[in-house]
Amino acid sequence: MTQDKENQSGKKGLSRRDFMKTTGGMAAVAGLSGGGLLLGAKSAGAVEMPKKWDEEFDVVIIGSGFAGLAAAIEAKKAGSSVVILEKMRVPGGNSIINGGLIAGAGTPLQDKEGIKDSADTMYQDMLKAGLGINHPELARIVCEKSAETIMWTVEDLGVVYKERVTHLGGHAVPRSYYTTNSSGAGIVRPMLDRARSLGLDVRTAMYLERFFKDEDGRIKGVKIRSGYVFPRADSGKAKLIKARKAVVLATGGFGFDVPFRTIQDPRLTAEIDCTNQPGATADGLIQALQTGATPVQLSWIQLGPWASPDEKGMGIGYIFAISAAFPYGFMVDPKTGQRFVDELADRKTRADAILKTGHFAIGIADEKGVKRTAMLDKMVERGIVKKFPNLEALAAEYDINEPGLRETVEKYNAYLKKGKDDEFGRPFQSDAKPVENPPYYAMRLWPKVHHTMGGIQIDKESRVISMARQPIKGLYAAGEVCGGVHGAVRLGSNATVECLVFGRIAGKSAANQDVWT
Amino acid sequence: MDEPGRNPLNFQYKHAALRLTFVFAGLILSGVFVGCCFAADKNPSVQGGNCQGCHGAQAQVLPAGHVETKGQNMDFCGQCHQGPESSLKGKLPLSHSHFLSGIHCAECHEKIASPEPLRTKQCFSCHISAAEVAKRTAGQNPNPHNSIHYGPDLDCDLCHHVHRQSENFCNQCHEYTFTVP
Ligand SMILES: Cc1cc2nc3c(=O)[nH]c(=O)nc-3n(C[C@H](O)[C@H](O)[C@H](O)COP(=O)(O)OP(=O)(O)OC[C@H]3O[C@@H](n4cnc5c(N)ncnc54)[C@H](O)[C@@H]3O)c2cc1C
Repeated sequence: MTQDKENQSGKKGLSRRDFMKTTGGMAAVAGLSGGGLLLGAKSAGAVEMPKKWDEEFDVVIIGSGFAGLAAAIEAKKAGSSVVILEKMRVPGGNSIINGGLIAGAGTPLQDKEGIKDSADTMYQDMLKAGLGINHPELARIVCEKSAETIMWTVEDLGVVYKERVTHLGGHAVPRSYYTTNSSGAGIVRPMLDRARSLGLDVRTAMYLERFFKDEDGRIKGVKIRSGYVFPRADSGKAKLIKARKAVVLATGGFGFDVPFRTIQDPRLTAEIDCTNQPGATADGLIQALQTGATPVQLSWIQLGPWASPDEKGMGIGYIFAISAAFPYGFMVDPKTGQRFVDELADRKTRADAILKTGHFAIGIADEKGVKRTAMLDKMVERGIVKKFPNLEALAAEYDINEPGLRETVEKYNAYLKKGKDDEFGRPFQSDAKPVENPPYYAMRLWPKVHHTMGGIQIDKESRVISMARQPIKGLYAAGEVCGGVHGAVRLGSNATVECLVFGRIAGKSAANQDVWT
Repeated sequence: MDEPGRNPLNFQYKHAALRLTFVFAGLILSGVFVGCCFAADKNPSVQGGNCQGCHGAQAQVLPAGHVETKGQNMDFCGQCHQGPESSLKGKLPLSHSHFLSGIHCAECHEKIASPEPLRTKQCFSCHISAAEVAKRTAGQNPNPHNSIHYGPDLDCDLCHHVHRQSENFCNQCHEYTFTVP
């Protein structure tokens, strides 16, 4: 720290530059977080300003998913000069590989189908799933703006959705719009087109290395590595970009970042696969923390309980789990042959229960149970789902305790008959049939990291809040890099809408910021 | 952007004096292949089928008994290497197929002494455009050059490498088995 006092600017205040230079990643976060609390907002994380910038823009956007692109479009439309910087070689982050589902309350499609819904109902659903630890004011904004945001994607961007709303787990009513190509690309690509029509291209291979926070506490620019080759931190050339108005951080979640996520939740080692793109790492988040942002609920990391260990990433096996085994069959622990959780509980309850057994679970359905399962042939062909003439063969394949399994089938069919699951209280589908008709189908289940609910703190205007409980001037954030909206558990299709709502807010707020001189 | 004299998608292997070519599959099979551009910049005029020109006079890069490749080109290779069994697609490094098609170091790299990475635009000086490349694989499902995620916008070198093994960018998430030349 003595070096700090002698920093070239000669100013009092605290320069973190040398500290950052000699400390890497996590250690720096820990040190600075502590320092931030002790030192107050103004100078925490401040570094010496460059004498010369390579380029300058009003608004500098980091990340090119839903949040970053929404911010870019709004800031540009508000008259600011804008640049979008993306570290990967491709734009779109997790958004462009997402499932294409977006939730909205009180939408035209719901009206058409006579579904009654309101922002308040959606809000209650979010709080219930989120175990009530959602930041209420943020969750409410998402719900209130959900329908108008979907309409914005239709009217302003030209996004095309399927004709019906989808009903996803944890939502009181069907409220999810679904892109016609079943991918988030159905939204991101029109956003890229819109950005292009405004004269904005995503600059790829541009990695945010750090923020420039001045002694007055304002973020005034960023250091980028241009020509960056993921994940080599030293690749590319340093470039200094001045942000005359603001920087918008939209770097997404950190699901793919094994070291960082195991710090937050030590169970989530490399043994556990991930549905995210490889660039879903914590580096943007860490920079925000370094500069004094407040962390929110970082250890709430969502795993998908429907995932198969026999394929990569999101894959296709989840379709058998969510459309056959969970609603029309059951899941057992092979060691005992017994069920161990309500197969239709929220994602967290189910994933935790599987992890607790310490080994793969087996999802099972019979011929009647797979009636609604798309792509079954493909799953069987790839060995993700297997087909058996009888239960003995199934038990033998997965080394399942056979007497246990027979007992489970009997019990399950009895519960179904009387309409009540005595063990786990699972609701039965009205068209569910006893599991007794061969062939039987089964898959191995092992959760994969899917979403990081935690992140940095923002307020209703998307301003990043420091640990001194003040907005960090010149810094906005939106999307999965932020925490609080979803609390403990995110409901399916609520991330897309969150990222678009806050991305747009961040873009407008950033464009409204005064220019520093 | 088209350069006259080159037919982008169906290379016209102009320097075609046909002779032979089991060569490069052999290179790969025997694991002897090394990127030859750097060696070749010592002799940028070396012909594609002249293994020793890059690999050194002693190098035994082809299986014993392989026909002589010196002076040959891609069309010649294709006379024997046809069909799924013996096709060179995905086996022959792109540096070799480019050389055998008469595309030498200096035609892609401005400074062959310290070659810079290529930009996709440069690839299109022969391969025309993303749309044209996508057309070429239109029969494939999914079409890697026009995917629902990235459309025709991916850079060539996310998959196709000239000086090392090519890879399948889609397979970061998917498990497709199509061959990437
Ligand atoms: C397979 C999958 C399916 C999903 N399906 C759905 C769904 O159907 N509905 C739903 O609501 N949600 C879904 N989600 C969740 C949702 O897609 C994400 O929460 C959302 O896309 C996040 O958007 P974002 O803009 O915050 O971040 P992203 O889209 O991830 O974009 C962030 C970008 O920032 C870049 N970046 C990171 N660090 C840096 C840095 N240091 N410098 C420069 N750039 C950087 C990243 O490379 C990335 O491109 C899904 C997620 C996955 C993985």
